[in-house]
Amino acid sequence: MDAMGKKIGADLYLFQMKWVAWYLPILYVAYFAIVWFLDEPDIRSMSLLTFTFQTTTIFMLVCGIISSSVFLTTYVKYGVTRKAYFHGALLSAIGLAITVIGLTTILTWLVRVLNINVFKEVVLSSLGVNSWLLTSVSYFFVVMIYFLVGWLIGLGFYRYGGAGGFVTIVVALVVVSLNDLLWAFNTPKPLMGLFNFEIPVPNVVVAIIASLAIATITAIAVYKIVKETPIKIA
Amino acid sequence: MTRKVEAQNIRVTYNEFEALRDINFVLESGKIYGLIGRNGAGKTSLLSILAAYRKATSGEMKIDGDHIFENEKAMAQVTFVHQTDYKDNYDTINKYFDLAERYRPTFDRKYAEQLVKVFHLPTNKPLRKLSAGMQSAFNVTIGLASRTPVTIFDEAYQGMDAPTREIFYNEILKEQARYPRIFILSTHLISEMEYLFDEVLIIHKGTLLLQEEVDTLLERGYSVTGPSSDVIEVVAGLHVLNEEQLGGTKSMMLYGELTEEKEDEIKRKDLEIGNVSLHELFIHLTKEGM
Repeated sequence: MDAMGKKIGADLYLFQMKWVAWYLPILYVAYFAIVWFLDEPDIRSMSLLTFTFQTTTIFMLVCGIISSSVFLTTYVKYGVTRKAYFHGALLSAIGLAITVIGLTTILTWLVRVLNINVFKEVVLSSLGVNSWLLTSVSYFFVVMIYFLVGWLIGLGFYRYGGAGGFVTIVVALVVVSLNDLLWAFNTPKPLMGLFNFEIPVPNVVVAIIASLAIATITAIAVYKIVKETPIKIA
Repeated sequence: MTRKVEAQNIRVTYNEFEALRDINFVLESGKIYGLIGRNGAGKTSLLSILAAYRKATSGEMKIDGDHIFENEKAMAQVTFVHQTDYKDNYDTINKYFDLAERYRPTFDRKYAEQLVKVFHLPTNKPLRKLSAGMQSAFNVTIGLASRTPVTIFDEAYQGMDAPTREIFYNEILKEQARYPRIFILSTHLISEMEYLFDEVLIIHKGTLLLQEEVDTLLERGYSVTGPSSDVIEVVAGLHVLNEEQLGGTKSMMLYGELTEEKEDEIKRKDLEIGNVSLHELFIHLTKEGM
């Protein structure tokens, strides 16, 4: 990866971490408040990591959607190539996903260690009570895929306008639904609830490899679109 | 260091519409170029290619022999100042100076801060709170202080009052003396900015009508005034741009080299030869249907 890509990656990471600095604490407070005060078995059994993961899919989707319109224009204006922007934005998203999932994993583990009564019923994730590494790695992949499809949608609208944008929304829906078939995490995927097809959840190794493939293909699609995108003058 | 920008057979199409075709030119450092053309002539499309904002449909745009589009080295040498919408922008001028300092190795922050004082710009207010003229002055500040070998101002004066425009023009001349580069000024304010230009490029309906030194271009335009019949006789076979009639007196605007023989003939008939401004030449060279 080129030096400029790394530089942009670091800058975009720090920039978006300002949003994370607001987002995560609010989310944590919400989680503890809900578990403490609501007697909902569904929520009471949900771990902080799973709760954060579910909302982080949308957080990363939004980061992806706005990336092109906010950062691409600015960087090209300051003489940076689209390729360097692509590398930087991708690196920053990987950094964000690692930070959010990593921090939350540590905090969730602390909650477990402290052995507080209210959190007795908490189950780490659908992957198992003690699947710390597997859960955090798979959550990382899933939130990255949400970022990538958001990026695809944002670019779709930026480059092709309304009609092209809607095509990328359909592609994004298919991608996140396919990915959730692999994991059965029930991540947000609008409309897809209407279709009720289920397949047996595959082996985790298969799921990780397939997720990696989905992420790579989506990233390549993003790069193909971004590399010749005209910059808007507005 | 001398720089050269070269356009070879640039063509740009948007779906079916051909915005630019057969554009060829060479620009050299140390010169200020005026880019003029009517609305929709293709000026911004052309500048977008130069600044790597878009890729030409075909043809090549190069700096010192290197392709510009997606070329890190080449793109770092071009600054494109155009109207920008800041209505949702909460960042301050200082934030943008930080950005320019980080991504433009040639950015001179001290000079930028001097310009901020000259233009009376507030550095701690979000850009959205600045007036249109102040936003333009800020854009111009970034363009001037970035000191890239190619600096483009595309109607950068929008909203500026006359004294501010004057400061802007003076700064271009001072910068050109201090750090000679290629300045491209795309403008509709021809009479006001004419004195800045070394060369003029006129673009009309997607083609480059001419690229000429200003003095040469002005020598090519002249008017002949006198009794109608004499004027009509003398201009036969010449390129007439415009004619005006007042009673029996006719004035014709002509374009082309004024040969000595022709000049003698005009003088023999006691007709008057007058100058034509760049503004007038532009209007008549780009008249509908030409």
